[in-house]
Amino acid sequence: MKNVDGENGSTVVKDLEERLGQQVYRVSPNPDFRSALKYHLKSSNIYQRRREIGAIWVASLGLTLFLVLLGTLIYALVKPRDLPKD
Amino acid sequence: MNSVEEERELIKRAKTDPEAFGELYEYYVERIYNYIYFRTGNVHDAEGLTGRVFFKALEAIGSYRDMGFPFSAWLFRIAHNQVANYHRDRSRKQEFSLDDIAVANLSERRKSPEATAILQQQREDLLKILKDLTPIKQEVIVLKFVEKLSNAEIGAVLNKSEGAIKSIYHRTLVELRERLDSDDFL
Repeated sequence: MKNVDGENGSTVVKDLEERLGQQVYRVSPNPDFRSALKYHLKSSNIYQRRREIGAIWVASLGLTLFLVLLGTLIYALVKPRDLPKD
Repeated sequence: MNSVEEERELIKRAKTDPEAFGELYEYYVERIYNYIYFRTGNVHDAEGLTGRVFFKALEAIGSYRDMGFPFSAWLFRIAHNQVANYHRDRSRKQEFSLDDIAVANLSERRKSPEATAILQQQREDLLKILKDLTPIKQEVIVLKFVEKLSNAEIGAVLNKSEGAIKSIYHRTLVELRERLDSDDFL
C-alpha cells in the first residue's frame, strides 16, 4: 500500500475493504465432485434408517397403548368381583 | 429459493425427502466449499471436508430447529467444527494453494494481459498476507468477503457476539493495513 499520509483512516479502511471485496472471491468446485456428492447424499440410507426408526417408534407406541387399554379393561372386569360382599 | 418462507418449507421437506435435501445442497454447496477451501488451502481436503459437512447435515437435519438465525449459519457452524477438527488432527499450518485459487473472474479476463498479471500479483500478495493471520481472523475475512455474511451471522457461526466479531474485524483490518504498508504491496 502506498503512503496514505493525508488520507483519513476511514478512507484507508474503505479502500482496503474494497480491495478485499475485489480480490478475495469465490472459486467453483469441480462439477464432477459436485454432482457425485449430490448423488451420494440423495442415495444415502439415512432416510431409509429414519423411516425404519419412525416405524419402530410408532409400532412401540401402538403396542404400549394397546397394553395399557388391555390392562385397564382386565382391571375393570376383574376388580368388581374382588370387592368384598357385605 | 426466493424467500425465508420457501427455505423453511424446503428444510421441513428435507427432513424426509432426499430431493428437497438435494435442493438445499445445490443452493449451499458452493458457499460451504469456498469457506472450507479458503481455510484448508487445497482442493483435495476441501472436497473431502465438504462431503463430511453435508453428510453431517443430512444426519442432523431431522433435529434441526429454527433458532432465529439463517440455515446457512447452521451449515457454516458444522463446517467450522469440521475445519477445526481437521486442523487439530493434522496440526498443519493453513496453506493457500495460489495456483488453484487463481481462477480469474470475467472482469479480469477482459483486461490486457499486463493488467491481468498485475491484478493477479496483487491478489497473490494479499492472499499471502491473509494466510499469516490467526485462524479466527482468516475466518472472519472469508465469511465476510467470500460468503458475504453479516457480523451477526458470523457471530452465530463462530459462537461469538456481534460486537466481538466487529472488534475482531476491525483489528484484522488494522493488521492487514499495517502489513500492506510495511511490505508496500500497493
